[in-house]
Parts: sequence; C-alpha cells; structure tokens
Amino acid sequence: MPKFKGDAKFSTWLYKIAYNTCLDAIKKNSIQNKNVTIDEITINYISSVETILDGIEREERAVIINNCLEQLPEDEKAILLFFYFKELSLKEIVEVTSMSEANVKVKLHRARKKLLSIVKNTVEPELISHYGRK
Amino acid sequence: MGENKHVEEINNFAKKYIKEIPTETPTVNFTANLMKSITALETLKTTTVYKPLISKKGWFVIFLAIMAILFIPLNSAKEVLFTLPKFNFSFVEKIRFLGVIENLKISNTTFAITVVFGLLVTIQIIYLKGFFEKCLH
Repeated sequence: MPKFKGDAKFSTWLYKIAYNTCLDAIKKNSIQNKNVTIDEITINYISSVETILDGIEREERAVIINNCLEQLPEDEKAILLFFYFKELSLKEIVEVTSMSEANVKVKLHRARKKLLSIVKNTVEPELISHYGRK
Repeated sequence: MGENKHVEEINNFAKKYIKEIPTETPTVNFTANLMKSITALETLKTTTVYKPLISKKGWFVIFLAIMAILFIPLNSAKEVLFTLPKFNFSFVEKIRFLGVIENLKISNTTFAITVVFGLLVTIQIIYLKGFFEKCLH
C-alpha cells in the first residue's frame, strides 16, 4: 500500500499488480506456446458464428466463450477481458500492461480475430456432430 | 470501408459474448485464507529483519565504560586505582631491522598511489556494506 502514489486510479494500480503477478506465475509454471491461426474474416463468417452461438443456451455459451478465451495467449486474453469484461479504457489498459497504445490496439484487434476463429472452430464441429446424432 | 465494417462487426461480437461470462465468485473462506497467508508472510518478514549484534544503547554503554576507565584514575590523582606493569622496551633499539625502515624512502608517486588505493578500498567497503544491507531488506 505505501507504494501507491495516487498517479492512477486505485483499481488500475491493483489491476497492474495482479496482471504482472499472474503473467510471472504463468511464465514460471508453463512453457506452452499458444499459437492460434487466424482465419480470413468476412461478414458472413461472423454472422454464421453468431447464428450458431445464439442457438446455444446463455450459460453454455458463456462456458464455451470462456474455454475459447483460455486458448488465447495470456496477454491477449487479459487485454480482451480488460476491454470488454472490465470495460477499461485503452489508456487504462496501457497503464496496466505497460505496453504502448499502438501495441495494445494491435493486440486487441488480433485477439478479437483469434477469438472468433477459435469459437468458430470449436462450435462448428460440435454443431455438426449434434446434427449427426439427430 | 469494408475493413472498417469487419472491425466493427468483430468488436460487436466480442462485446456481446465476453460480457456474458459470469464473474467468478471466490470460496466462502477466501478472504480468511488470504489474510492468513498474508499475516504468515508478514511474520516471516519480521523474523528476517537485520538486527545488529550490539545495539546503539550497547555501544553507548561500552563508550561510557571506556571513558570511565580512562578518566576516573586521572581525576582521582591521589588514589591510584591500579598501576600498569612496567615493561622494559630497550630491546627495540637493538633490533637492526628498524634502521632499514628509517632509511626506506618512498617516492611521492608511490605514496599518492597507496593513499588513493586505501581510499578506494574504504569507499568500496562502505558501498558493499550498503549494498548487502539493501539485499537483506
């Protein structure tokens, strides 16, 4: 607590500590390389994934999205959660992650695309197998 | 224009579905367990705090004792508390080696180098002491 200077919001300061501690812990405990291929995104691609997701119950959908987020590289996952879940501004994310604004923007854009690809690749085979069973 | 439309669509997609993720709730004893581990860490920290063997008070008492030993006999001139044993140091004159030291001439450069070297060693000792103390904390 004595290290908190009051330059930023208390929550931002706390997020920064949590973010760095978690990244350190992940780096220490695992060496897994999360490489995700990004598919070519079209409007149809997005709407088809949305159609499949909307057909799933809300709770189950949340579990799927959460599992898909887990497949993203840690820093990209954190940025996505900060931006959409915690609704932090870009400036606040820059403060928490100590990255440049341009870098945060690039990572955010890439993470969104990756998430979409992961969701599509997770949900589509499940849907096909579900129809197959019927 | 098309690219912007994509970005907007992906943005809406992420916003819509990530918001749906429920907040993880901690277990009932989470706060208690956390505080327990924090206090355990704090007590661990206090046990490793550096403490000098002789405290400042201790040094003060030692200083006072030395002063008392030195000055009390001088002030009470009539009553001598103790007398130091007398040694015959005349044998020192017989040692020829001392003559060698007297004749030894040190150049100014050597003297300057020795002084600078001594100074640097002293500074390093002070610096290293500070460094290791920092490491301890």
